Amino acid sequence: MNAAIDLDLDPNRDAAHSGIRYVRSIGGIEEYRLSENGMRVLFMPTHAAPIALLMLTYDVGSRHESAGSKGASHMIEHMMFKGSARFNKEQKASIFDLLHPVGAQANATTWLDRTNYFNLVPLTHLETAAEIEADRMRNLRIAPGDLDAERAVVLNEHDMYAGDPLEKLNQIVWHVAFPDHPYGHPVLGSRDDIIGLTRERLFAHYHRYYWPNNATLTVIGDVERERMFALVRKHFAQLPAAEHALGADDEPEAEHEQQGERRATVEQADQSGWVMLAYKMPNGLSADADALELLGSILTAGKLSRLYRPLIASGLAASVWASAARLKRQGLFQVQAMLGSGQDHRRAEQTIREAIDAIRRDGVAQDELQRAKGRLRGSLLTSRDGPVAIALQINDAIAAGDWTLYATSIDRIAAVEAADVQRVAHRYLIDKRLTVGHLIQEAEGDGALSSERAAAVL
Amino acid sequence: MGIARPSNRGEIVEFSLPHGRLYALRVDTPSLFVLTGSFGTAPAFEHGEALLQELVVALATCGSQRRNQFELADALESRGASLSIESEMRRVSFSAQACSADLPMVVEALAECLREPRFDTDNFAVEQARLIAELHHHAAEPAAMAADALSRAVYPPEHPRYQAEIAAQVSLLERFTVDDVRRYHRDNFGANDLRVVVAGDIDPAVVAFELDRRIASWSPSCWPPSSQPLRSTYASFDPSALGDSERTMRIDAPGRDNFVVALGHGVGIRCDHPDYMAIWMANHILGANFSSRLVASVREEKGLTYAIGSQLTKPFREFDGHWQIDLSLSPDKLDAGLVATRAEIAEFAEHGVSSEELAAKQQQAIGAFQIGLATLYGLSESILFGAERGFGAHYIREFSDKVGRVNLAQLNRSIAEHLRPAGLSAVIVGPFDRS
Repeated sequence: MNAAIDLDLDPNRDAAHSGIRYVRSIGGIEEYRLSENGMRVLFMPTHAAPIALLMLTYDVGSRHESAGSKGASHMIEHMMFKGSARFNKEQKASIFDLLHPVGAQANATTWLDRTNYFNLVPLTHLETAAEIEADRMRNLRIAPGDLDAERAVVLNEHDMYAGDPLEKLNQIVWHVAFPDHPYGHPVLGSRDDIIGLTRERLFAHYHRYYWPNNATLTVIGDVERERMFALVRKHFAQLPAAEHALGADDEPEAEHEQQGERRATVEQADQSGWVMLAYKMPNGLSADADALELLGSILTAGKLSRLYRPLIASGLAASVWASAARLKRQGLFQVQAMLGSGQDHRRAEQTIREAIDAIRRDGVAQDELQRAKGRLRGSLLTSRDGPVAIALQINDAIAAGDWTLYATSIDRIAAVEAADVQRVAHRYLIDKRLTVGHLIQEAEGDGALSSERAAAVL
Repeated sequence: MGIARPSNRGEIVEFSLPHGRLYALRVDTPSLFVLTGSFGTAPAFEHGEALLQELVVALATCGSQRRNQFELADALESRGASLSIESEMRRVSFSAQACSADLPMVVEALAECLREPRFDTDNFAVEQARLIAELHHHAAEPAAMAADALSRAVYPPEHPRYQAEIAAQVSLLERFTVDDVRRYHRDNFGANDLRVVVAGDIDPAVVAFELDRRIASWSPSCWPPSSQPLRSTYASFDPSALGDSERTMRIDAPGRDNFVVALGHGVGIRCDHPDYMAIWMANHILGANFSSRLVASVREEKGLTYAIGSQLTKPFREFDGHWQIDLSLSPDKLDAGLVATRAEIAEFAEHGVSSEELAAKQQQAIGAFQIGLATLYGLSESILFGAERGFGAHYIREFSDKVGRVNLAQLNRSIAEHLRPAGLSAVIVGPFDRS
């Protein structure tokens, strides 16, 4: 899986000829750099269907936002569908006019470390998608009327999530875990943040981060390499590189070291109980994150997991799962459970803690590690069903800092040993890295989010 | 006995099973496959057997007569294979995803779960409690609250799509025993109009061999029972009987920051109705995609909502469905959003579609369908959809023709006949107390 692929053409020769520098090939993906402006290009030929996916991933997300620009990355993502210099509704050449009419899927997402725009199109429309993406990389339009309408749309998106009790629990846990770091702030921003975003602030954010040398272009599909080269050169090579520094200067301050366990509670009426244990984990490129993913699987995945009998079969919880947020900076390893009807939060929390203690104390058995590896390998492979799923996984790897994280994931999982799992439990799953969240049924009275209570126990 | 000789029809290889059909399709994807399928059942909806069927399918994967739940889980989990069985009104559906080399193991596990589930008393209690917890969780979701309440406005209680109040569902679930589960399985699980689709990096002949080994000898159950003939049991539902009076329900959801709205009315069209594709096309134009009328007007032009769309319930041959329009509205946009949405629906119903719009949307619908086939799951689901509804093995190839045959006169007549803006019931869920 990790070996360089055999190419029927010499990518070095072709790339050099077209002004695109070949870098490497791993796991069926070829990496190139545009000589003119440094834009990274990833190419994954597949031939299952006559379609192609074109995605641009920008190294900008809510982590890059300062006071006054909270929510800007997400708002710009929305405005990018309102039009650019050449592609806009006035000229009947917007995405709605050119891509949607052929059935294309054109969408975008914003997260902590990145923003991505993806277009799944018939092969006949790959060039149109490339033209649109190239134009809106440097020539976004923000018409005042469009901004007002879209701000209302984004406010409604905010309201949908802000009132969701599980989202509240997740946000308060991240906020309490990262009070001084942008990861602790909602990606969408607060309502006041969104209302306060001016056209000038949005443009300042856009012109700081939307450059080819801060972006990765990914092309997946039934596309010949020469055609991909031609498209990239024709539409992206003339875009200038940013002259200001990107990267290190934009990195926010590191989070102060946590000294002890933190707790947060959300109360809401008519709500199932939830328990969440969130431990600070290393950045997404760390090999320890692989061991934590396996540990999460051993704890929660399936009927043979450590928590199935004491939590699910006992009726204490209806479901339980673990996740590892593999980010550019340290993220959170989370174990969360939806409680059974009328069950006790403390008991469920204690059960999860005891299972983690057992791994810290005794490690894991070879057979359960092998089972977890098989499960993760299988679920990784089956989850890569189609160009969009593949692109979104590559996107996450780019955001974490290295696209090859996608291509090497199965090998890295295979390399984890039982001792690694116990070691990461010792190192990361400890109280001074822990934030505990409870979602509880609202008591008589005001209810709502108890952020004050959370702050009080920091 | 066994599978009859295959007839290769283009890309999809179709096999006859003794009591069903198998469709196998080799796709150029690396070492993966998706298996989907379904068979018919006959739950007595008036006696709450829709919920009993949910309980039976939940327990079906909890061990077989040959292997307990942990042995079965070990076989699947150690290979990263997934297998699920779900209840879908008058059918039970199943799906699996795994690496190609694991096809025999997956088919064996599926056959055990469907044909000889263990139904342990201990597992019964666990799954019963888990389903009750999930019902409570479901009941707190505004979108689910709106959809369930709308179903109660649109359908009579004995209709398969009617969703009872959550307390009634929990009470019913608590009354079921493991004997009820065993009885229901005995009476309903069998190769009843069985349809199986396998797509991926597979050899169709190998798929047929594995199905032959594990499934071909599966007999139909007593299905359909003579008391519930397939086509007429729920034919009495008549959407016109609802009248055109507007009905609006408001449900308080304290703690929420937005409103969820569901508008809808019944549509007396099943998938074998001559107007089915015209109504499907109408819904596609009205609100089924990002460049639909509702999105263009209420979201993009007026900025009143983040999420809006329309859908026709998944069609069946046996019973009617309904048309549903869903949207999210912030408190300060609630009234304006409702007015704009209703106005857009009324405009659509009154004036219909132009020939230019129809031609453009036909092209879009065909393109979107083709792009939806880019995943193994989308491909196998589309083949199964056609197979279950009698559209045949060539449904995915014939879809373009079906859409292309919808003409303007038929479309606009169907819209005028079947979309009744004044007959829409409305359910609004949100923070009314705070408002």
